[in-house]
Amino acid sequence: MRRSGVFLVLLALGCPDGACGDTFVVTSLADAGLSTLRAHITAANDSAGPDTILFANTLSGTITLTSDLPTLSDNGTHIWGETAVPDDPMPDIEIAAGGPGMTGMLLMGAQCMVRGLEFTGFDTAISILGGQSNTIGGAVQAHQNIITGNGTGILLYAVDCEANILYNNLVHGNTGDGIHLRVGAVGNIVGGSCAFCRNLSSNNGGHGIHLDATPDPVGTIHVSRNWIHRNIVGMTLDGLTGWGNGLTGIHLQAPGSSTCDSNQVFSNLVSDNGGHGIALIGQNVFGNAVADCKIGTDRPGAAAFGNGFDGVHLRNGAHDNVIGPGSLVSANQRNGVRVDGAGCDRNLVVESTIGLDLTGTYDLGNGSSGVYFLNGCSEDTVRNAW
Amino acid sequence: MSANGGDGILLQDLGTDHHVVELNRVGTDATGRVDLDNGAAGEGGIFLDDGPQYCVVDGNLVAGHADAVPSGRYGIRLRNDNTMYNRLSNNVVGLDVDTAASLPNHYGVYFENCVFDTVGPGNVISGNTSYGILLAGSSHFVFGNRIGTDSAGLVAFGNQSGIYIEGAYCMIGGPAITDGNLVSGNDEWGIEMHNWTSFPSDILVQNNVVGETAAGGAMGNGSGGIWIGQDFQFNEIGDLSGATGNRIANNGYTSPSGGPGILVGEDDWPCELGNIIGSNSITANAGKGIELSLALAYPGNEAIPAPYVTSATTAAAQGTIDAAITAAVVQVFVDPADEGAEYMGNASFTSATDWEFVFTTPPVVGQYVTATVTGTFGTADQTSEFSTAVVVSPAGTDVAEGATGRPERLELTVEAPGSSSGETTIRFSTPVPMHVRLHLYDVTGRLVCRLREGVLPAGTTDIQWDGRDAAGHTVASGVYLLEAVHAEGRQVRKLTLVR
Repeated sequence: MRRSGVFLVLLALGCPDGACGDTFVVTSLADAGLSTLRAHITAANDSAGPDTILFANTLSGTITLTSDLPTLSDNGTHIWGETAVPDDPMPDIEIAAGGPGMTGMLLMGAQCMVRGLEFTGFDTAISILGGQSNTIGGAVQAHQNIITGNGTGILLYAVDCEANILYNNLVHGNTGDGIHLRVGAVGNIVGGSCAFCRNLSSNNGGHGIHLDATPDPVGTIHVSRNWIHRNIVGMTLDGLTGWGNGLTGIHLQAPGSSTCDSNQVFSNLVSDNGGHGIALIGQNVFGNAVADCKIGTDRPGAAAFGNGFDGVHLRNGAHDNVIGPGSLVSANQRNGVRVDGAGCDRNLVVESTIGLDLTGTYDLGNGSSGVYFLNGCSEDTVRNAW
Repeated sequence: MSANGGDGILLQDLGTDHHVVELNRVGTDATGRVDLDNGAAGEGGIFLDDGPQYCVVDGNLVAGHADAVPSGRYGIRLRNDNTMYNRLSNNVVGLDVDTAASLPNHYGVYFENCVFDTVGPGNVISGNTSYGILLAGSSHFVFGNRIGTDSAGLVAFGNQSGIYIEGAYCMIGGPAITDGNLVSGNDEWGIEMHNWTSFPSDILVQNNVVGETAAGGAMGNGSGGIWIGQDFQFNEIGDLSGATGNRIANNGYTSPSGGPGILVGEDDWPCELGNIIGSNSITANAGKGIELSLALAYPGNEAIPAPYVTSATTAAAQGTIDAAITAAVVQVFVDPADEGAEYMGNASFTSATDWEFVFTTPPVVGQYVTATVTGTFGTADQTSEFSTAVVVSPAGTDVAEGATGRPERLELTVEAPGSSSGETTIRFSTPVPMHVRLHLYDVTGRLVCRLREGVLPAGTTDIQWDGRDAAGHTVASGVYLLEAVHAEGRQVRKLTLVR
């Protein structure tokens, strides 16, 4: 019965991404052994070229790992968790850490895909280490990953960690950062414009999304040209209820020689976080754009879910960034936009609503000033805001 | 940028420089028509505090921050010494986005202890419940703005007063015509200055229009045009060269006593002095064109006496000044009444006290000639009130015998008084019989006696004055004024009696 079920799934899906190659079917929830996820990852790595790992369509439950799974090192390996109980749009396979310090899924190849799974209890749930063009999650509802109860939710890191796509991941309840892009993360896409392409990163202990150019032994490399698009950061999935992260909603930092530059942060809902809504901190944070975001309100832009500190906060020399256009920055507990300190130069705050609801009609004031420039920043501009 | 708990936009600290704040709506909804003000007590729209420099605040709508207590709120505020070299331009402060309705702040623009900042050009600062611009700092430039009107300068949206100055070394307007502000329609004064304690104040007011619309219609400020008040010294309203005069008209009509175009004086201390007022067009104000608060114990500009206009025709005017004034400049004006609507030029002196002005553009018969004198008097160089107005007569009304033996023109002359008796001959010549009222006044304007009132025949009539007043008492030596009022106007001659 299981075998026929698998065939049905394959027919239905038809390997739409052309990555089927060899197909492996997980039929066991055991950590190791025949037809386990561990065994099939090993097999896929051993099989050159694209491979697909499916789950029996009646399989449901938790795979508790006692050690890390093998690294996805062969290019083109797909793991499609939604094939388990395909009628259920929610993940039916949970991958759980059986001990501390574990990584749920480590990707070091290219064009791999991990979707339709739930990860819990890991030090880092999913880590892309130097890999390119991998996809975590997918564009339809059933492709969603649920990443909860871990340390860090998703980590992108190291040289050549480029052009990866994070769609439809529900990252919440982790103790560290929800989504963490470290040095080397370049040109990745976090979220997207399709209905289920957005990620949710809420209720995590650290930052919701963290673009972190903190220098690292891997070298002076950068966090650049990433798209952070249409994500929900600090709110529930419907965008109507606060579910804040402990620290900043979206945090861009570059405290040393590596740069955090040219990232596009647009159309995100960033509210109810304990720290700032969006922070840009460091002299090498430059050329980033924050546009069309709602920062401090619900999704309709009508109700207050202010972030604990500033809506947008620039400090320690962040320069030449653009805040706006089209952003709504209201109801935050301190300032709408704060640009603080020498070197925070030539930033542009433009075409944003700061202190009102989305219609521009009602009071949703920030606690302190709408825009606050201080402590020696220079050549910044506030234009066309109301 | 509205409804926030603090200021709409706050720039703060030394080194916070070169910012641009432009095209924002601060304190309203997105339409720019509904009040959604920022801040609480003492906060407001845009605040540059403690050191921002070289910032540009341009094209913003800043409105709705109207609370007066416990401390007045503001549209735009600059504060403290290092806040300098900033420019505010093209903002609308206190009206809605169409400049069609009031959406007031308490203070429109408030400078407090900052220096070298600029307001202008192109701001519309109107409808605010307190002052349009409060300059409580020094060395600021305010030019090219509309203060108290809509953006077209045609509809009044008065502030309490247009510009209130508590600082020094400010320039209101400037040397070019386009530098001038339109300061009209405000509830109290167009421009007022008070409470400056570090003399001198050196405010320059140039090329402004105070009390008219942009189209030249009447839109006076309620209490008066310009008030140089408590402790303000050595200011200049216009100049003595004809280059930078202001237009000051139609003001003072809500003042019970009729407010003046320019008022100098406030304090019962000898403080409001050294103010030069020149080359302005001052007319149609409810009170005097220039008033030096002569009723105070210490009047403005130390009560420098106004000059006398002793004759005025379409060709020339003559007059005198008080001998105590030195280094004097007499400016001659023509007005429909008793102010100075049109500055005609500076007179030439024919003696230490006598002046003459030849018109290059003849005034119209029936208008009035007035004059001011600016010179050293008391402790400073300063300007008088306007003289008594003298009606313009046709040119050529000086006495000259014609072929008929009758004079061809009207003339009033005074023979030298007798040195001991005070007996004086006054000669009135007329080509036709004419009703004449001939009165003598002292220099304070008090009537001494009525010499003649009735029709005098054609020709020359000598009238004797015995040196006595109407009660028969011998009058003291001094200067007296002989006034002849007749069908062609009014003539005044000075009569010096030496016993």
